[in-house]
Amino acid sequence: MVLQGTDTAEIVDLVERSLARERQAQKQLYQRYSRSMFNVCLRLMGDHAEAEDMLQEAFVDAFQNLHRYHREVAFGAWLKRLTINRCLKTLEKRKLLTESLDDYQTEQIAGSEHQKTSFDSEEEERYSMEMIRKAIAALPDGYRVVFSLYAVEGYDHEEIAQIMNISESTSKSQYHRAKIKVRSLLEALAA
Amino acid sequence: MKNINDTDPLAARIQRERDALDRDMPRADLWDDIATKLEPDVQSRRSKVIALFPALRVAAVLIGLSAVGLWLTRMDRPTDQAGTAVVLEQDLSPANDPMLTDPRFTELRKMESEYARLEQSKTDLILDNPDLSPEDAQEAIDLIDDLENDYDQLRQELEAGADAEKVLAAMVRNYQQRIEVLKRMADLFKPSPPTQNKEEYASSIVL
Repeated sequence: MVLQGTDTAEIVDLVERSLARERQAQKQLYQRYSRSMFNVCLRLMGDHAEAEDMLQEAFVDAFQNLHRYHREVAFGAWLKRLTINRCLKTLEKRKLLTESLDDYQTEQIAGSEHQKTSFDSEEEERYSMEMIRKAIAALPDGYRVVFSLYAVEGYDHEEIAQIMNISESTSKSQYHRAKIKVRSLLEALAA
Repeated sequence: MKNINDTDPLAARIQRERDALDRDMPRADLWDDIATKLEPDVQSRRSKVIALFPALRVAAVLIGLSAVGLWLTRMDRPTDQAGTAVVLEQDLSPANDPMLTDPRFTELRKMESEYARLEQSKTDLILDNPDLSPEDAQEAIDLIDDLENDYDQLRQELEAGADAEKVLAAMVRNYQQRIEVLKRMADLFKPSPPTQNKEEYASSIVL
């Protein structure tokens, strides 16, 4: 067996056995990735019950389409992309994402272009990860999605543009605005 | 994926301490809901097939035995020097095929046509089922092939002049069994067969 990407031999084995529909292997993969994927869902959906629904659908999708996974990337990365797509599809169906992004285009954030959006290293150390988590959770849908994809999941703007079917410049501007909002939320939490 | 650098220290820190964000857990029984939506476990599917196939194998053997019995009934017919029934030396062109030209076999031809149509539709139903693994599909095809071979043997018996009433009855029964086998298999691989009846279902096949 040739190892692919960053997957360990154990993950490769679990994937192959899951492909052969071994329930125990599928369960082990679920146990391995459910927590991180659930938190991806939770950040994107903003609701615990909806996040569970998305997690369930994502894993069902993943196992039913495992034959489409050709190991170009690590299994976890493939699963995360599939999970994100599932969440975005649901948000898009509800028009939440589109409406939120439309709002951004017209929202007047007083002096936003001049507001400080970046944190210097010393400043951001003031805020605990728990405060950051709460600030992300408090973001409106569209802000939360773009901020989560860029700052948390590590996608670049080109990838986000592709995932969300928006332009790269829209992704950049939404992230810029999301950071302003995060900053104000963190300041409020720290006060 | 991007390279986080000093221009975005917040994003860099979040990714550095990402685990601290992933603190929520889904409900404990979510996996059970996922499992019910997946294809049947390969182990349970295999056992279902194993439970099903002995009954079908018995059917194939019985049909084979009936064909042999019919073959024995015509042993007194003329044979060539090698002992082969003379029917094998006949011109097998369609114009000389009694199965196609003999009016006594009109009903048989209609029956064959109808059963062939039914068999094809049932076979398509089974083989198009995404739950059916390539191995199970091949096993099903092999089994149906066995039954078809038995049918062909009966047909040759009929052409060779064996007792038409007995052979025709065996041929009808062969087709009925093939359709029944396919119907049972299509039912067995339905997405959600009643769980409590799986064993009873497999063992209920009486051919």
